[in-house]
Amino acid sequence: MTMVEFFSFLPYGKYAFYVWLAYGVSTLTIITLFVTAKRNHSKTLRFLQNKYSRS
Amino acid sequence: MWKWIQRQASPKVFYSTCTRLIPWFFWPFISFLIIGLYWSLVVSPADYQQGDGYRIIFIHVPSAILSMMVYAVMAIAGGIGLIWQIKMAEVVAKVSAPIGAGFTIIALATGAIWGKPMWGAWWVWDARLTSELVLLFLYLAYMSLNSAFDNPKTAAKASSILAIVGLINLPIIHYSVVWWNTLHQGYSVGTGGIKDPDMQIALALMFVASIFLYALYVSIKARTEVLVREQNSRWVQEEVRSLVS
Amino acid sequence: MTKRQNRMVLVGLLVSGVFLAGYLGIKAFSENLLYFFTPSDILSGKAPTDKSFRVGGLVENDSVKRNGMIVNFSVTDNLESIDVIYEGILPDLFREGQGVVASGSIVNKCVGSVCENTFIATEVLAKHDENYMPPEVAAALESTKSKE
Repeated sequence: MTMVEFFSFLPYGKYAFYVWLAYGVSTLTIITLFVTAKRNHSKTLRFLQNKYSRS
Repeated sequence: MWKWIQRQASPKVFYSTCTRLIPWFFWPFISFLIIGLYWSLVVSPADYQQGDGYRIIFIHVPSAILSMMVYAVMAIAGGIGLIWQIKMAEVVAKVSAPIGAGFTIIALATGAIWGKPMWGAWWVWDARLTSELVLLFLYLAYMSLNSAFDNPKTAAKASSILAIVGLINLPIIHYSVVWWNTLHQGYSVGTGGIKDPDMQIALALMFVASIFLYALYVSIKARTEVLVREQNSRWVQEEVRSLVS
Repeated sequence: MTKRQNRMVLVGLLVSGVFLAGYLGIKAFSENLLYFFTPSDILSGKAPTDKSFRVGGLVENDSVKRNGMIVNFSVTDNLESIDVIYEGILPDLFREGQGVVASGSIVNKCVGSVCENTFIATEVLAKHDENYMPPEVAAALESTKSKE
């Protein structure tokens, strides 16, 4: 219960912990998807560049 | 229009279409997201029963709908790949899986966080929650099956069949709250359950933002996938050279 | 038949086969997928008597009696109702007229020749409805309802 009380200074009072946790988890998931997509892309480019320069 | 769609079957054309579309998905996504968040968190009034706790709905419902829509797109694209052997349909199906899994995780996580204060439990094994969890497992099974084969053609075939078999889960998720007694409430969308116009606008904005987000991620991920699949063709070599230098 | 039509038929068969299997599966396991039983189900003997299960419905108006941590209330589906005893913390949304799902088991309390079913709950969860509105709208709806 302490987490709920600790975050109750934020907007939405006694529900602040839950609402902001839900929005935070969602943001994190979306950012993770984006970062993995970008990383995959640059990894692929590097791999292909190596392959082409060898041939 | 039909001609345009047909031309997308060519990897090179599809690749450049994705490149061109990215800003057209990114900026609408950002705009709808910002206005949608403002409407969800500031404009919309508190609920008569749940106070401000109900605001989780503005992420929970769009991501739950998208988790099912993306699955349907994935299975249909997989089916098109099976029947007409269009490689770009296979690409769309493959890159949709992790995005759909992401939406499913968001729907499950926000649902659990919402359930704790309102129902009194993070998780219950009722038909709605269980069938949505099955959807996550379907996405994970699809992804591991797809990566289990070295030949992209065999991988697409096997995983598309799995995706089509899993389609049966979509009506189960949708109608679970009607067919069985569940702790999860019935539909709010399309039944007039959401009575406040500001709440409706907020939900609609967040839903549109989610669709643009999906389209954006598909076009980003599809580019990578096309480069891998077409790595032996001349234009990919030139493209990689021009991108790296 | 061309090769493409052949594949089309195969995919079509796959889809219809899956949906048939799903339909049969759901029909067979429907009972197990019920999260709770209504008071009417219980009184008509559909609920198990030998193991614990869940009862769901609305908390009957004027039925809640608190005695320390012990709460007595009735759950109704507007046809039948059943008495529930629970000891513990109730969720925020618990109130009269609210949907609840209680898990536990049923005991028969007999006073003389009159036997009454009482549900001993080990957990009570709140079930809210699909309506969302600001308090003013709820109040307005309530007042038009009471005028009718």
